[in-house]
Amino acid sequence: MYRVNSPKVIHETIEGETVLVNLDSGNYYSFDGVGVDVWNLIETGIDGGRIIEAIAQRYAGERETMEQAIYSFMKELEQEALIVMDGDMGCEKVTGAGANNDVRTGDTRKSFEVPILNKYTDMQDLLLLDPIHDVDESGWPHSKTISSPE
Amino acid sequence: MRTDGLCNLNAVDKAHYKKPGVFLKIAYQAFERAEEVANGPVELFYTIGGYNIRLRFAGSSLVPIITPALEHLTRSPFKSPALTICLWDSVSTGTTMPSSPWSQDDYDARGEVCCYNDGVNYASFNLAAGALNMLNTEMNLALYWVRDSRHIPYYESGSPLLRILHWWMSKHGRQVIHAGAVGTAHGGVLLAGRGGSGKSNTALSCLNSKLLYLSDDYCLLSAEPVPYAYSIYNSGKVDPASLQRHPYLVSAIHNSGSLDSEKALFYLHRHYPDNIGTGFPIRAIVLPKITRVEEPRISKTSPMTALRALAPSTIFQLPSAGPKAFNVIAEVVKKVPCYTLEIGPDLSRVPDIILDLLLAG
Repeated sequence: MYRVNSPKVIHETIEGETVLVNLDSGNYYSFDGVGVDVWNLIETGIDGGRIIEAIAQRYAGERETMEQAIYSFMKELEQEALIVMDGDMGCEKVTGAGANNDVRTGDTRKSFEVPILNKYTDMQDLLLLDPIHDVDESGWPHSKTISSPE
Repeated sequence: MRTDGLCNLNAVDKAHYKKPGVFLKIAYQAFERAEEVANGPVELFYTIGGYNIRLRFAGSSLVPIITPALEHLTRSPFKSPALTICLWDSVSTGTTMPSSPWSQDDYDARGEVCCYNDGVNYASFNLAAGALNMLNTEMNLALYWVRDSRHIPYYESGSPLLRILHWWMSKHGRQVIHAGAVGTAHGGVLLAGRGGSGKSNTALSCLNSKLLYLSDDYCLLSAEPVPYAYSIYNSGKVDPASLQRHPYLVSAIHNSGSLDSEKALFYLHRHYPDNIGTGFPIRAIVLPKITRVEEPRISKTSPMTALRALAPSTIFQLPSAGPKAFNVIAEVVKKVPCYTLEIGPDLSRVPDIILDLLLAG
């Protein structure tokens, strides 16, 4: 199963939108809708197959499309090091793939929308300053002209 | 020039000196030697974020560089400071700093000393300022050392001791955040956004209004019991190209001879002593956005937009900032409404818009 990559990743959900910050990379992210549900389920510690099952119960849509979208979303979260694999059960496909999960008469479920991970890289420059590579005979770094951070 | 300590260390000794807290004591002894050479300390006293802080200088060379941005928070001498910061430079005191126990590999990209910060001890080397910053939160003692005070860049003077204050304040319920703030004694707004978003232009445009100026760049924030912002610096700075929007500030420029390579820096307490605030409750978060609009206009935005504007730029500018800073900011964006303020070349209506916002809240 997956788990949130704490403490390298910090996150907050407010009014149906989640913001995540990767303290290592300097990137930050946001998503809403189905993405927030998937994230909350990851936090509960259940495996990928059960996450897909849970989403399928909450949203109406073509089952295979949902599986594929959630699988891709979780893979993207993993590639961005926002979640990490913990144990064996990742996000392999679950039984029942392809079953009809379309909207039915009287269905109160929301329509499934593909979760999108928005990525922001505009803070990277704050982490990609030149490393200290020049020191004096006492071992102290030489000061260097750096443009204002503002 | 005197040479002191830690020369020709063997590997075992060096490993010992790298341990949290050990080098702070050695560096403090170096400060005391510098203080002795300078014929005693120059002590200045401030109240920052509600805490009494003593700056203890060895000699006077750093005083005009470090203190102007803090002048509005000056206090009469007090006996029991919550924090003492010792400051010195090697050149003016004719002393040397003991050799560094750390190699290049021990620093991260922001100069933070890896494996030293243990929640009590903190160390980082600010490469831009050439400044070693150290703190022990149990002793409430911080050290700020530079090789040569003449090489400190202008922007360090605009926001001096930021790292030390960030470390120490985060242990005392105050979070340094990357934000401006303007308001009245009854309440104000945080101005959030990354560099170039318009925070400084918005904050500085309020100087000739009923609004108090708290910050254009960094301030202290507490989330409990109600969101509250505290001033740290009375400084402000803008790109020289933006000076035409603030013609009243031209005579206040501190570094007017260097505007070809530097932003214009102001110590505003010297020119607007009645307009500089020390703190107020936060009623809203405003995200300035420079556009081509003729008249500034304000519109509601989501708390998440405010969190995105405030949290990453705070966390990635400050060493050791992480979940704690994020949580404080997240708490505040949940408690107050958030707005986008589009600003164009004419900023004259900005103060009224913010005042109306505060009155309506």
